[in-house]
Amino acid sequence: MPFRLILQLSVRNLFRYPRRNGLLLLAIAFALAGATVTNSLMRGWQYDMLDRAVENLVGHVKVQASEYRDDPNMAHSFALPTNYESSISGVEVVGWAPRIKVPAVILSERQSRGVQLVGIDPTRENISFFSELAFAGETLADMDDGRIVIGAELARQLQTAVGRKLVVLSQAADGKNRERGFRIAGTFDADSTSLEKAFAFTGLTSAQAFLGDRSSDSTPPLVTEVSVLLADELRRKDAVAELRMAFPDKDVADWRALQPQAAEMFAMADAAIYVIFVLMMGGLAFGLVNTLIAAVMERVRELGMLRALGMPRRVVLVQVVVESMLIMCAGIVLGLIAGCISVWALADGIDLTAFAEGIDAFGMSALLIPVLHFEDLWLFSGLSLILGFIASIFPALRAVRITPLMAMNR
Amino acid sequence: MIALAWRNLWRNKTRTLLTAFGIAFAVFLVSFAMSMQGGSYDDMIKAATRFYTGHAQINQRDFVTDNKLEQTVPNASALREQLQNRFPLVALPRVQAFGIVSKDERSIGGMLVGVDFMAEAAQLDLFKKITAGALPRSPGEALVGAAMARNLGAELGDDIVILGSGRRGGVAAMALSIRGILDTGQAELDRSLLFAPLEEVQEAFDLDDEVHNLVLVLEDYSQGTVLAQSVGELLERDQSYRTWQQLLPEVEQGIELDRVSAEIFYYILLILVSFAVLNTFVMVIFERTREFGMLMALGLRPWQIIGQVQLEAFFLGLSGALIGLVLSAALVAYLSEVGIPLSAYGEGEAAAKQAFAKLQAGSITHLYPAFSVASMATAPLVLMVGTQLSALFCMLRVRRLNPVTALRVE
Amino acid sequence: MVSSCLRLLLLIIAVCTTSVKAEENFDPLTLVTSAVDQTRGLSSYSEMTMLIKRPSWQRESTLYAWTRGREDALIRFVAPARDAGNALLKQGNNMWTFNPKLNKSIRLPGGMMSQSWAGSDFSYDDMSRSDKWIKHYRLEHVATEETDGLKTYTIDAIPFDDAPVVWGKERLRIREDSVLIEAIYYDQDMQPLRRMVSTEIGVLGGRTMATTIRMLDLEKPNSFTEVRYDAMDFDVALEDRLFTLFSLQSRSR
Repeated sequence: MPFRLILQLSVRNLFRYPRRNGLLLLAIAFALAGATVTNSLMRGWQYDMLDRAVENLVGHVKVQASEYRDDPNMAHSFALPTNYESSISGVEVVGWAPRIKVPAVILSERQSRGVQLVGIDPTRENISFFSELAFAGETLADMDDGRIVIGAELARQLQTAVGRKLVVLSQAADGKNRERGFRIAGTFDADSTSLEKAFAFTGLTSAQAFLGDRSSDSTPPLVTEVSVLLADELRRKDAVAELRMAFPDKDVADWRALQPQAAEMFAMADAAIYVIFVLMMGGLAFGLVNTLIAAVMERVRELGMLRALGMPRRVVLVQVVVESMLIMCAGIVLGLIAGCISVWALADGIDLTAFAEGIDAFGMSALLIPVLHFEDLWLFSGLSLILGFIASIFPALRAVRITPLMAMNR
Repeated sequence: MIALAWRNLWRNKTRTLLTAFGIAFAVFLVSFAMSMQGGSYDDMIKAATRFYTGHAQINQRDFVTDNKLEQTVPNASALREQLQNRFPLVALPRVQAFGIVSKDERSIGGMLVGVDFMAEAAQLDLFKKITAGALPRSPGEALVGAAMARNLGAELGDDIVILGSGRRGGVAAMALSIRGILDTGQAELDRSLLFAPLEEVQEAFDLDDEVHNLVLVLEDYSQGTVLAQSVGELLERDQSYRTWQQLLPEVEQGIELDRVSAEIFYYILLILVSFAVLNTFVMVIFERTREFGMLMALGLRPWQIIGQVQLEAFFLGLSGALIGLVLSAALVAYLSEVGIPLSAYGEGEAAAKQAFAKLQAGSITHLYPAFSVASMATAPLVLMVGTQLSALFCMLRVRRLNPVTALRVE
Repeated sequence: MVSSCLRLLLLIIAVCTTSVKAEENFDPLTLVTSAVDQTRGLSSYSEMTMLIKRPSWQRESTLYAWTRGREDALIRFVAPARDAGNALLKQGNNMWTFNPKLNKSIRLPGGMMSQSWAGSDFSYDDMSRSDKWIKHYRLEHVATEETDGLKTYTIDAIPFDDAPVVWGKERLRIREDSVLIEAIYYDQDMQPLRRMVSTEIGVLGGRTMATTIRMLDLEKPNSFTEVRYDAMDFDVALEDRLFTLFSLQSRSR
């Protein structure tokens, strides 16, 4: 029997029992939609964590002096060669950010706090959270800007505000303490996370002048780190290898080594996504098999007659399977569409600010934005089709065992 | 009627079994997952609160924000005794003072905490994180954070001095020897904390029988909020009582977040299975329309027929729920003894430990599910109610059934 | 936070007897500079009483102090017995504190300099700055008053933008004989935070100087620190080894 005929038969069969098949369709669509939405939320969370970890001044790969990780200090700074950007040739780079990052004490008229003083080139900070911050007041103009920007929460703790002055105290490259006044150019809002309390930014040149080597004029400017953002995160190992050759005596590490916690949670999210999907399909499976068997049982007379008319067993088998696959496909398509629409409806993100401290500990931001990950959706569709196929085997086998005699006895 | 209902169920063995197992599957999954959650949330809270913060704390109200030496809770011994006599708890006194910690030439700022070592070690896990040496037992001995020891260049047995300002302006000076070194896994704690005997710190800083903190360790952590009222009666107006939820909001929020996201998953699963149930009853109606018509022609009222089917639905739901419950209970019982080892994460073990350490749950090595009314009752209840409702929904048409037309249905 | 007032104290200790008769169009920098210049190359020995007053307690101590120029200073507590022997040594840019009970000298780390010294309203930082005063401020003459035949000049000292000073400004009132009458420290909103006032002016060690100075925390009522000079000796011969760690730790004198 030609396949087209089988197909036509299957389709018409589907419409014979609109209510039952409709319900099944709905169930499948619901499962797929649910899977799509939860998947997109989890991916959103996972990539948000990745972004936060990477943007938290870590980047994908970092070059530092070898002692810096244990003892972050200006004494462990190094001079950056002028052509450093050519160090990575095989991998596409989004951006480089040279920085000075050292612990410092920051003082206002009434309070003092320990912070990380970060000297940056604001034009190069498109690779970190800095460029996406909202500022009250102004941000740093360029790397020569001698002003300072701090988090709004830090400003609150110091009882100061935009336009006022702070004194920063830190250890210079020669080990001596240095202090200097900085005017606050602006304050930034990072949803009251630790970022708001931990960092104070100033221009890189200004930081170099403040803490650098003053013994001679000819020393090249110092940095404590260079952070790199790659176009493709997966190529980080290649980038690390190339950088290690360019900077043989330095500590070159990727973000997973620098922030193992985030890396771990990232991997856990992957596992969780698949487990959840499998379980949901499991829940669907029972209803699916049930319905398919009932479908077959209802057609005992018809199938028996068809067999009597000479339809080979094989065709019956194929027909039942095709019918189930058709419903599955329809359900999958419907479900994915519904799921995608829901995700777009949630595109503004889910506001989690009620959980502020908790999400900070998990490394998330306050806005959970779902991310549609098409590879996952293809995977889900494929798995669902396989499920549909497997679920139809038992009913199909039952259908095959229907003899014309049985049909006529009904 | 009961016997009839039961027998009716078995008329279509396959369908009944499939639906029942579908219910069982969902019940098993959801109740097991809820037990796991309950168990691990419980453990997380226990681990977090028993680490350092305790289940509740009593402070002078302003001390919470200002951390000043003079903001003390007076008559600490009396209050401590009262609390311990009246309520099932242990009250641990603590004194906090900021000072310069110095060894030979090197000195850094640090927070000195005066504690009753024996009492604290018996209740809290922080003191189990001693990596070198032992818990101080004699006067003049201190416990120092690993990072602080490193920054001072100090080792076990070295002498250090602490210098600060006493309560009434006098100079506070202490000479201590390092009896133990602490590695909590949290850099911020290790870098700035050191512990010394309570009475010595009180004496050095010119404090009478007063403390900054009374850390309460309850027999049952959930009693924290319940006791607020009664403990409040013993306190002065300027003293505050805070529960662990206020002290460690990130733990509570993290749990809440996890709970909410799990609930979404549960609902999706339960809805999916309900589809299967609904489908079953749709088919039931369809198949037995003739039968119902006949029964009605014989004089049965519609509601009796509905009742009959409801009974069938009840048995179906019950069997499915019981199977699922029994399986899940067995698994939970087994695992609550053995536990699921966290080291199953393999290479991420160290990172996972760090992640947990960050949530102050450092002592969790295994995940244990726990029985609770909620975890065991929710899924069965929801599904059984759902089953009944599905049956009812489908059966409503029976009221309008015309026996004559029904009998004509094939 | 505490002011830079003890450096003014050291300044005042070394002020010249011959008062500088100011001209009508006077230059504030000259007045202040000359006052500071007077301290160059001079040394002193003083005995003072310090009273720290707070709403719920107060504490009185006796101290001896030696200074040389603007670089070196040694201050030691003599009474009460509980505090006796505690000492502070300034040697150039470094400061050490000594505690007799611990029998140890502790070098003050940079981050601690803003902390209060001996529970008073002065910080370690105050004790150490002396000439940064000129380097970091722009001086403006605001007003002149005359009382009892002596002119008193009000001068505003406004820190430069990159100066390591947190104050919005400091308003000084200096008499024409170079005695500092008052210094008020303002935050950057120009709210007064601290006030140092010379409550008694007399002659000690042959010079006209403020003999009692009170430092008030304007944000806390009933809180101040008062220093009263009981004895003063200028241009004393001081040995180099006085300003050493060894001397800090020795209990003699």
